[in-house]
Amino acid sequence: MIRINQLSYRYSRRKEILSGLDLELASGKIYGLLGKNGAGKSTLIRNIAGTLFPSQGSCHVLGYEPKRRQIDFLKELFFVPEECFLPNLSISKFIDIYTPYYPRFDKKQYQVYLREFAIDPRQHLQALSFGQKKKVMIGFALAANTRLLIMDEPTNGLDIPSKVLFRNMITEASHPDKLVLITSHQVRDLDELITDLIIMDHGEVLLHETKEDLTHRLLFQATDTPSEDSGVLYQEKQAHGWAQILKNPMGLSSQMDMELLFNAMLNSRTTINSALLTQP
Amino acid sequence: MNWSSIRLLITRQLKEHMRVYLISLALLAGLLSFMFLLIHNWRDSFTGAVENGVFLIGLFLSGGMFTNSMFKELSNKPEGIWLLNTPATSLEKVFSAVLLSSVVFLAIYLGVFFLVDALYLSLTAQSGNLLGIFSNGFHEFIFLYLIFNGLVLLGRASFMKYSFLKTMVLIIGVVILLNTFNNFTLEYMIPDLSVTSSMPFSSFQFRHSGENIHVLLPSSTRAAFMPFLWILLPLALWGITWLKIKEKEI
Repeated sequence: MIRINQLSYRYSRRKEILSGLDLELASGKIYGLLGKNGAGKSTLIRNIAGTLFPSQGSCHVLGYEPKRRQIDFLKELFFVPEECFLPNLSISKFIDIYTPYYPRFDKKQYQVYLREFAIDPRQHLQALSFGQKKKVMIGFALAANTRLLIMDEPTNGLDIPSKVLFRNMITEASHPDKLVLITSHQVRDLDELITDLIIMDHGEVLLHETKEDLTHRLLFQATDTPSEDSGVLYQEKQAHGWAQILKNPMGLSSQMDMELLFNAMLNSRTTINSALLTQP
Repeated sequence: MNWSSIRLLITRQLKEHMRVYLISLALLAGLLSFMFLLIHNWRDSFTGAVENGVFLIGLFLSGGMFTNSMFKELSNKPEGIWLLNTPATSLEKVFSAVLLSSVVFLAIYLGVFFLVDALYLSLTAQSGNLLGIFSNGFHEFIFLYLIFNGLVLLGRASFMKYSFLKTMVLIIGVVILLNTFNNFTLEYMIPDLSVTSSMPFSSFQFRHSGENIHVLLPSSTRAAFMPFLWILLPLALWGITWLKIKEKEI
């Protein structure tokens, strides 16, 4: 669904944000895009959404070139930016004005989302708090039923119960024809949600694997003491002991610690990648 | 271009800014009434076509501000992304903005102006007529408004912050530059002439034996030149605005 070839993006001659990225993302999946501040996540998703144009290379989404912003492409895309904008309207007027743009928009589905988020549809959008605006936008984005849904830091501003609701909504809205791409600093928010993980740093993709493959090839465990064992690929001290990533030749099952894997990729990228390559 | 998409874009623009537009409409009527009141109270101090002056001040002031409300989303990132990702083509977005800020605005402005003008004439029991848009070539200012509209829209698409102020400074700068260049060229071409005023692409005035002599372009040249100025120039400016919006990155 998304094919990115040797994509580079420069803000100026000196400042290169993305360099020679290659990515292929398929529909029916929920991708988590992780990276530190300034890693290039937002620049990448804005290139996919067509609000930034590649300096070099190509980006194709659903067969369209996003930079051309063709109407059929825009009807299949919903992009929720980190700081989302909502116009100066009541929720009901907002629905009346914007739903005709999305051919598969489901008003009943949207009403359910609003009810679950405890938002009164009679309210005015400008009277809502930041978190409530985010909920209105997330609900709208899901009810639009576009084939590509991009969310930049969607859980920022959501309270804990809403984060749980958000995860459930995304899971329920997933569909074989739909691709969801979510970026987040808050790694734990995506833990149970995503099917595939992409880790970026300094404009490069450090890791792009399915969660299933990662848990099959890596073993995540917690111990009281650090280990000198050669099977330990990465370990770090945590509040109640040590968290480790080990090779998993036996294919044992474990709960993936995304935060630990993220830190491991930033600090011991070569070790993790060679372990992933050498294991079946 | 899809007409239902244009209808949606116009509805969106009007509904999102309805309150501001209604307040501005009342303000416009108040401003025009105030200017007519000033004229009436100091009628001995004002001579000439003062009604025309009121019309032009109102037209360019309110028209500039209204046009500047088109694409206002481009002045900040989240709103800009929202506008660019709204499912409509760039051409439809620009076309609907032009339609609103030129045709719809002009129709409403003319309505409000003549209403205030008629009220003024009836309340002051004056014998004069309503402003004649088509007398003495005054309608040419309507075309001038279209050029101004194109410039303001182009400014909106080009400058992210303070677009209206920047566009006004540029317009004033270009007008001063053109005028200076025009005067300089006239003095260079006809050194013995004492030119008192000039209008680029149109006319100049000089003094000869104590009399002011006004020189206009020959009517045939003017007839050939005017369609370019009044029609092709606004079209070109709207076209460049379209290209700017099409290539806009946020």
